[in-house]
Amino acid sequence: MREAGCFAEQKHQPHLLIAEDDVPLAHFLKRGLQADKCAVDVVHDGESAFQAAKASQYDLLILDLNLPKLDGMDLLRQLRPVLPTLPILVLTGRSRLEDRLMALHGGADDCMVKPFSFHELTARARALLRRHGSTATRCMQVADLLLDREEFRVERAGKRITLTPKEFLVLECLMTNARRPVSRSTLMEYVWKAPYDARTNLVDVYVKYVRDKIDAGFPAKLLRTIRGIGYVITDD
Amino acid sequence: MNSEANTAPRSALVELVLHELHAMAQPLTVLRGTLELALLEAQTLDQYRQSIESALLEAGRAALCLNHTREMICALPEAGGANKQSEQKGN
Repeated sequence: MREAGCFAEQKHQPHLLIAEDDVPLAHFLKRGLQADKCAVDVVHDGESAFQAAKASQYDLLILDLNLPKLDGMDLLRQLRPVLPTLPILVLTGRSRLEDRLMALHGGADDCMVKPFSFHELTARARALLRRHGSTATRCMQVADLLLDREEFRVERAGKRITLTPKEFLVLECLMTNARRPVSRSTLMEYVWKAPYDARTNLVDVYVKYVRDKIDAGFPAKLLRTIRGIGYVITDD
Repeated sequence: MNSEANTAPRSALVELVLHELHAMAQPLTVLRGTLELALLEAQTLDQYRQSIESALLEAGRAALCLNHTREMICALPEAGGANKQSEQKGN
């Protein structure tokens, strides 16, 4: 069927965010990409795009530069320090070389000038996902906290942090669900492969060990307790 | 590349024309993409009809932008438009 634009080669269903103020164009892109087996969210202004990108772990952001509330270039500048590895494909109505260079220098991974071919869009999106996929499944990042699964390595602001295997699994579980609360029973099953027993405080003890290692000495505390629910890693 | 031409200040009217041209790029993107996908995927008469209707809608949006642009260009002093006339009256 649609070989040219098919995302079936991806190991998991790619989750895309489209930030486009032109409603018919946004809906067309959403429909076309959904038919290509992508999960797609759409926002129509820069502020909503910023909030959505931070709240969910997207595999790709398709960003129109001409957005209300927060301009696409300003959004790029604000997003890059927070989400340095998120692939961003910029759409622009300006065809001048200077405008495309500005977007790429501003943090975009690729840039397309409207009116573009939908086939070219999906091909470029697929290439970005392919490049990102090899590092995304391996590395996770929240603010300046980085976890590398393959190298069993954790860094905060470039400084190496040594964790025990169990502490590493606790952090991995929290970072896989970054910005979403994780219950004690989820942590128990992920780390110890056992059902949660409310009579023990094993999870809390290990979360404290991890917290002491990743947050101590840093003004921004990333690992937070959600009373009555569990824990969350977030930079909000 | 003429750098002077790129940095020269633009009149409000030229800015409006450029804005309208940017606006035209939106429906043209949807129009082009709709037809591309129709060629690739549509199988039944209904699917082709749906694609054609969507394409027509977007062609209408693009035409509207084109008309606005034409009106604005006609108003440019170089085209002997209203701006030119008002300038002459002022003199």
